[in-house]
Order: sequence, then structure tokens, then C-alpha cells
Amino acid sequence: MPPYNGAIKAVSVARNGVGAFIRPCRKITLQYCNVGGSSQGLRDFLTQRLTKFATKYPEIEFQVALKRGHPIVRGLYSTTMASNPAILTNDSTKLADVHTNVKTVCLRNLNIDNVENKLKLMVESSGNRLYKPKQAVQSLNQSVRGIWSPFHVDKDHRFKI
Amino acid sequence: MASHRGMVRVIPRTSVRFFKTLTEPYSPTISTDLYTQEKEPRFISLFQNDSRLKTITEEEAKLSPSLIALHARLNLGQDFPLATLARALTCDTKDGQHASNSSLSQVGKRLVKYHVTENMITKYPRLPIAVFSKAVNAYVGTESLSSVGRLFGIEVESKSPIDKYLSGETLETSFGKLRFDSAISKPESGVKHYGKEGITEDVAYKFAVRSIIGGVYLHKGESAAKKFIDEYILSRKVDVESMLKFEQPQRMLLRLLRRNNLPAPVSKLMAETGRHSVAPVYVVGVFSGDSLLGEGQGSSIREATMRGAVNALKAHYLYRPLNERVPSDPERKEPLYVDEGEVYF
Amino acid sequence: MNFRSLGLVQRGFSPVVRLQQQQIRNLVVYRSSKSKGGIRNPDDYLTSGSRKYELNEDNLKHIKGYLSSIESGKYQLPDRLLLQVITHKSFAHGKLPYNEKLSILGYSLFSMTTAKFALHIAEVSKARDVVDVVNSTGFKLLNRNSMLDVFSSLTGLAKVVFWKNPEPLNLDGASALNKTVERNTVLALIGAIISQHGTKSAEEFVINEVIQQAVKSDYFQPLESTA
Repeated sequence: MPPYNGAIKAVSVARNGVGAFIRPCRKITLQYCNVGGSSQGLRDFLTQRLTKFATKYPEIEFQVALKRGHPIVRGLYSTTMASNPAILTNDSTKLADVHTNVKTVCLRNLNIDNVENKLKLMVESSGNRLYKPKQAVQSLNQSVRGIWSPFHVDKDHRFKI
Repeated sequence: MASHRGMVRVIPRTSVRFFKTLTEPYSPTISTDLYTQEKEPRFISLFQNDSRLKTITEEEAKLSPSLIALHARLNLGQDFPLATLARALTCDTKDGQHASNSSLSQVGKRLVKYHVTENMITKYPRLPIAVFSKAVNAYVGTESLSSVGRLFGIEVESKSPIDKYLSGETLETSFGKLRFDSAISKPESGVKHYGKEGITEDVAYKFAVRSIIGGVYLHKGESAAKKFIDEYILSRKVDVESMLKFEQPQRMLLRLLRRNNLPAPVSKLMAETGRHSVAPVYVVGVFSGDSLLGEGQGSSIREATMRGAVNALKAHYLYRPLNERVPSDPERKEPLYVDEGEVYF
Repeated sequence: MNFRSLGLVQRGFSPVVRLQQQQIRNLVVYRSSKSKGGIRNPDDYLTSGSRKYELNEDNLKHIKGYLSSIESGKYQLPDRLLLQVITHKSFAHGKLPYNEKLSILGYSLFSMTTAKFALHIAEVSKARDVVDVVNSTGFKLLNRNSMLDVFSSLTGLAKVVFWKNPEPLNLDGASALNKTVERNTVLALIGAIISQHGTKSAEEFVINEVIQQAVKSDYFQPLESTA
């Protein structure tokens, strides 16, 4: 019988930004109404600033849609960020549904500057759902200090019973 | 959005570039002077294969906004034509009108396999073969490369041709999406049918990523392809330590030491507490001669001994040399260390 | 690291320290046929055919002669590595350095180089679609296993391999298994060249030696007439 039996399968985990950085935001849809007053700020943005803004981010596809109702901005994200708690658990069933994250923000009654700020927020977001981190530092790597062992403490510092 | 009517597509001006054709000459880094048309005409003629399928042209590819965005996202540069990127997203389909990515992905597969293999052998020269192959597969396997493709932000073409026609989309807009014949169909809600023909989404992503790497080699040359693999594939994390598995660690350690002409392993109890309590802890060191090879702790002496042997084996197999330059690195001075292989019986 | 340096044994911590004495046994080596529980004489199994496994000139002269004859000795390798190259993992239960990892490295380079090579040929012959060369007859021939057989038989590499023949009666070793062992040796040679001389040299070796040998022989001939 061989003393050594095979290996355990593993899959590499993404570390966006370690090699190259890919912006998670891949597509932004701006939905506006031609008549409604709540779309005024977005309409101004579309006519005055969108071209310049889109030129700044060539990696994002911009779509403009005309639809009745309040204006909306919708961002699509390709997310496999290490900061995502679903990735940290390395659970492949969870991995599948975090890839296409959508973030939607209503833009009603915002002026042109506020619209631009909201867009910047969309562009710079990771696309992850917001969550409260339990630790101050999150890492894929093990602690370099290792686990504390009572047997390896120097005698002078040992707890005396 | 329910309807696509009234939709305006805004293509950023900087993304509209003029690219060279697909057959632009690439710079070979290997000399092939022995095989010229004059010297070996019959041999050269074996490499001619003219498939009748047309390739996607640059003008068609330029009409897809998502393709231009993907091109910019991957920082492919002006040398890399949009047409090649569109081809990389085209898998073999039954009614495919355009040349698929099958040949590009062959090239990419071989490139990525070599670079990951040489990297792994340089980093962990003593890994057992089974662990080594799985570690390479952890980078180049379907799960890994499909995850890379999703991180790239490649979209899957999910609309049928008739849906596209009804929503007023042209064929060109779908060039920026991953197109393949899916093996999985959903005839009704809650039912999944796994067909014999076609491929899964993961496999399609894998082909696309490989093809992009092949395209980078073709248009931008060898060092650019290597850089691309370094940045997007080898930058990912694989925890090799957790992949090792030992059935009989003490026995294996004995074989290993005997092969290297070292004294047989001896386990020594180094510390203990609470032997008669409900939760005893033992620390056992595994020694070969005077040197401590590994140390393990457990709630029984047997468990601690076993862990000590596992730690000793891990210390051996996970050895990493200080000089981590791969053989394809031109600045490498020292020869690569390749181990002698593990012992079995 | 010595366990005493941990300060657990000599100082007043209260562990029970038990030092086991290593047991010493007397071993008897059987020289005759196999007998249960006995340890075989290494001289019996450290042979392949009539050749004895050893790091000596006799075992290496063939492969060394070949490597020094091409490109004025550019691809020469150290003796110890050469012995590893010609040792298959089946030999001596893997106790001795064998070529498996070298051949894995060599295989990955070989398949990459054939792809690069074919792309270059397509470039030379001004194909309409360069990448389409992957579907050509020439590329398929380059990647067939028998491609490596041509090289191993022409250079005589097959004769010097140390391996354990599972069919002891088949002394010629002309079985399919033997072919696999030979191919692995060729790939291991490529792997060894990568490790000593770098990727670029190994690629040149594949193109200028391995493929060139096949072109010179009649490997590409029969299909040329049909192609």
C-alpha cells in the first residue's frame, strides 16, 4: 500500500489588483424621462457632461435609455473580489451568484453635480453587497505569527501556578 | 428594461480606434531558418489549411460597445485588434457563420500551461507529482479560468436570434458577448436538461480566456503574453499546503530519510499536560539523528506523533528556493533545481 | 533546531520526557530467488537488461556523445542530471532520481513550441488566417506521439534507458509501454535542457533537433503524398 495517496483539489482565488487591476464596474445604464421634472439634472448631465465622463472611463460601457418615471442609474459589476465574504468562505455555490452584481440608485430631483457624484460612486464601487466586517483586517493569507502555544513560551514569561 | 426601443448607445470617442488586420506579422522569438519555403517546400505545404469560414472584420467588431469596453478593460493596447477579441468570444456553434476561437484557444492553452508549469516547478521544486499536477490545474483548470473570464467582465449572450431581432439588436452588438451552444437547456421552469452536444458556460469562459492569451501572443509577442499570464493568472492565490494529503506519514518519512541516507525518524515526547485530565495535550518532536524535523501537538501521543511526521514531510515538500527566477526569465543565472521524485513502493 | 533549545527539558517545567532508543536489527540479504520477508540484494534489481545502474562513463557515453555532437556542445548537461534523465520512475521503486517531473516540464514546453513553430510556418507561407494552421495536417503530425519516437530511435536514446520491463520475456522491449518510456525520456531531455540552459535554448533544441530529425526522416513523407 502506498504511504502517500493523491492530493486534495483546489481552485485558485482571484486577488484583483495583485497583478493587474480590473475595474469591477463594467456597465452603467442611465435611464431618464424626457418630460418629468425629476429628470432635469440627469438630462443636463447627458447633454453637457456624459461624453467627457464616458471618455474618462473607456473600460465601462455606457447605455442611455429613455423611459417614463423617475431617473435611475444602474451599474453592473463583475465581482470576484477578495473582500467579498462569499469568496473568503471559498464556497463554490456562493461564488456563482456574486458574479453579476447589480447596483441601482435613484437620481430623482438631483442636480447635475449630484448626478455626477452618484455616477462616480457607481464607478468606484466594488459591486459587493454592503456588509459589516467582523475583523479589522481581512486576508486570504494565514497569520505570519502562527497560533500561540503554551508549550513554547519562555520560562521567565510563563504563567506560574 | 423591458424594451430596447428608444435606447441610445454612447460609444466613448477614445475607444473607437483604427486597428490593423488580423494577419499582421508578429515577432517570432524563435529562429526557424531551417524551414524556409526554398529548403522545405513540401513540409511547408503541410501547414496550409484554408477554412472557408469568414473571420469577423474590424469594421463589424467596432460596432459593439461592450467589445470596445472589454478591450479597454484588459488594457490590450492598439496592437490587439478588436476583431481578434470578437473571435476569442466566438465558440464553436452548430450554425456558426464565423471562424471560432478553437484554434486561438489551442495556442493560448499551450502557452498558459507552460508558464504555469515552469512557475510551479521553480517555486515548489519538491512537490509530489499528484499535488504538482493539481496545483497547476488549480491555475489552468476550468474553474479557475472561468473565474478569470468572469472577472474580465465578459457577458454571456443569452438572447436567442429571434429575441434579438424583435428587440431591434443587430448581430454586431452581440460580438462583445460570449457566444456558445449551451449543453444545458431549460425546457420548463425547474427542469434542467444536460445535452450531449454543446458546452457549459464555464468551459466557454475557459476557451475565451485562453483565446485572449493566444491573441496576445499573436499580436503583441511572447513577452507580452507572458506578462498577461503573470498578471491575470499567476497573480491568483493557491494554497498549496492545504492540498497535501498523507495516509501514512511516519512510513513515508522513513522512506524519504532512508533514500537520502539520513538516520531513521525517532519521535520524542517533548512536553505534556493533563495526562489524567479530560483534555490532555502532548507535544511530540520527530527527530532524525540530532535534528528536529517536525513537531506536532495533539490530545493523544499517537495524534501528536502523526502530526509531527506530517509537519516534517510538509517542511520537505513545501521547500521554496530563495531564487525564484523561472527558466524563461532571460536574467536567470543559476540552473533550475528539479527534484528526484518521491519514493513509492 | 535542537529540542533542547526550546527550553522544555532541562528547565523546571514539568513534562515527562521519554526518549526512545532506536532499535537495531540484524539484516540478512538473500542472494537467491525471492523469499518472503527478506530484503533483496540491490545488485539483483539495479540493472536494466545487461546494464548496471551506476554513475559512470559507460552508461552515459551514448547520450553525452549525442549532446556534444550537436551545435558544438551547446546543450551539454551535468552527468548526474543525465543519469536522472535516462532513469524511468518504474526503475528501483522510485528510490533513485527519476525523470517524471523533467518530462512533465519538457512536455509542456514541447507542446507550446510546436504551436509557436506552426504559427511561424503559417506566417512564412502567407496564410490567409494564421491561426488556422492549428487545424492543418502538419500541426497534427507535429503533435502525434510517434513524432517523439522518430527522434528517440534516430538518436538511439531508447537503448540507454533504465526502466523496469513488466514483460521480462519480451527482451526486445518493443511493446507499447516501452514506447511510452522512450517518449518520456525524450521529453525529460528537453526538460533537463530547460533547467540548465533556459527556455529559449530548449525551444531551439525542439525546433532545430527534434523536429528537424523528423523532417529529415520519412516521418512527413507518406502523408505528403495524400495531402
